[in-house]
Amino acid sequence: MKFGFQIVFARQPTQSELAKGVAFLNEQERGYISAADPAEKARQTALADFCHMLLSSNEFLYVE
Amino acid sequence: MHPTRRELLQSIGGGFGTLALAGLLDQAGLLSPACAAEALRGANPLAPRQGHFPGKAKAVIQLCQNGGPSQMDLFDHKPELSKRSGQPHPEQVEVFQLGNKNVLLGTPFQFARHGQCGMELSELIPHLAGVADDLCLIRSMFTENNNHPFALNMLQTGKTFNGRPAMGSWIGYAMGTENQDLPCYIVLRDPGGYNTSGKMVWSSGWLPAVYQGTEFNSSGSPVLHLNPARPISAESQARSRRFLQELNATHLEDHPGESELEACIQNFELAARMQLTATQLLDLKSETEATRKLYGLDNPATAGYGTRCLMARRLVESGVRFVQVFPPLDPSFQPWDNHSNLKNDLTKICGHVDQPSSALITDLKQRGLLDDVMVMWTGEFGRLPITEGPTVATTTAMPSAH
Repeated sequence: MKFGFQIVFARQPTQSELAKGVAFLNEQERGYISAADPAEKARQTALADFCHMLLSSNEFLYVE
Repeated sequence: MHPTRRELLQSIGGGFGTLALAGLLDQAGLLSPACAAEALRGANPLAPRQGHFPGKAKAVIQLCQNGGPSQMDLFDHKPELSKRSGQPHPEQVEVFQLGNKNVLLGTPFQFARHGQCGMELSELIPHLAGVADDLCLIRSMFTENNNHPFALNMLQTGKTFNGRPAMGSWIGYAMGTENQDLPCYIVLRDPGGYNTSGKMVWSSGWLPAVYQGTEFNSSGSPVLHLNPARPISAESQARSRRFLQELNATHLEDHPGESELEACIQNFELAARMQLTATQLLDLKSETEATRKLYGLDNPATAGYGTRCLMARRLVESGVRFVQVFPPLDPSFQPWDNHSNLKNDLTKICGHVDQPSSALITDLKQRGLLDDVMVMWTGEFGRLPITEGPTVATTTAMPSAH
């Protein structure tokens, strides 16, 4: 997650962002596991979602 | 704390610059106080606004008949031309198409008077003839170029060259839109492809992109690129959006007063709302059998264009400001460009377009919408009165032109 923040925003996440990110990742992963996917794949899909959201964020998309 | 390189660019690139620009424009008298305030606030660009002058119409549907519908075979009866068909034109007509022999060509179609107003219309458009009293026929239009793409530019933007905003964009810019869950300017084209000039015809030119025409599909998912490529459950998508909102909210907290950031967040929310609204709105199953029949949805010849006309009604009904509808790509991608086989091709495209165009008028009127919705049936140019193929006098083969 820290690596993702560094690549996308050129900075480290704050404690609060990290906490929100972890919460999102866990929740998302649980959702995918229940959908008959193995745990390994669910983790990967959830991480992909996390990266997509970083890339969709205003901080990345817009120089204000 | 030292600002990062990114933060420094942010503060000089956008924040200060935008304020300075608005201030300078204001000083130069280019912005009214209200406009300046709006620019500084970064107000919602699609909020409904009054025009400078009171107007009756709240929405426009443009039935954009590209290809150059032949006026003298449809709307402009020329008995004298029929009488002189086969004779040389008294003056030399500009040679534009190869084979122009400067020989007059009358229409092969019959005209009759319709409605209380006695509007003369050709036999090819019996359904439009049925609503003659609701039409205002303008026969005095003029264009500056006899090439399709340039003439389409002229029709849409007022100039023959590329790059100026289309009229739908101007109207969105001037008046905003009533329904904040949908774009202000929506384009419905044949799913099979584009018109001669493609997306240029609904470009916002130099106006902000929010005013450009948004294409809606008339088959399958109505909004292009809105549904995910792979299936994603509603729950996991909602969780992702929530996380994105958290990221954006943190970012906004660090940039207080950046109203454009709030606008960006609103854009994402619009896209999410559109997924729902558009899908429900464009589900035509809720229409009665009578309405579906009126638009010709039960007939393969009229179903495609009929669907788009019916979608157009539903869109203006729900508060969309400008809807642009294109005819089917049959007989060609310039469906009204019929001069090489006038009788066949013009008959064919009229068979696709006549009934649904008329149905739209009837349907709008029944619902009381015709009072404040303007329907335009437009072509980019008309036709010359001469033949470019074999002359009527020398052959029994169908002469070509118009």
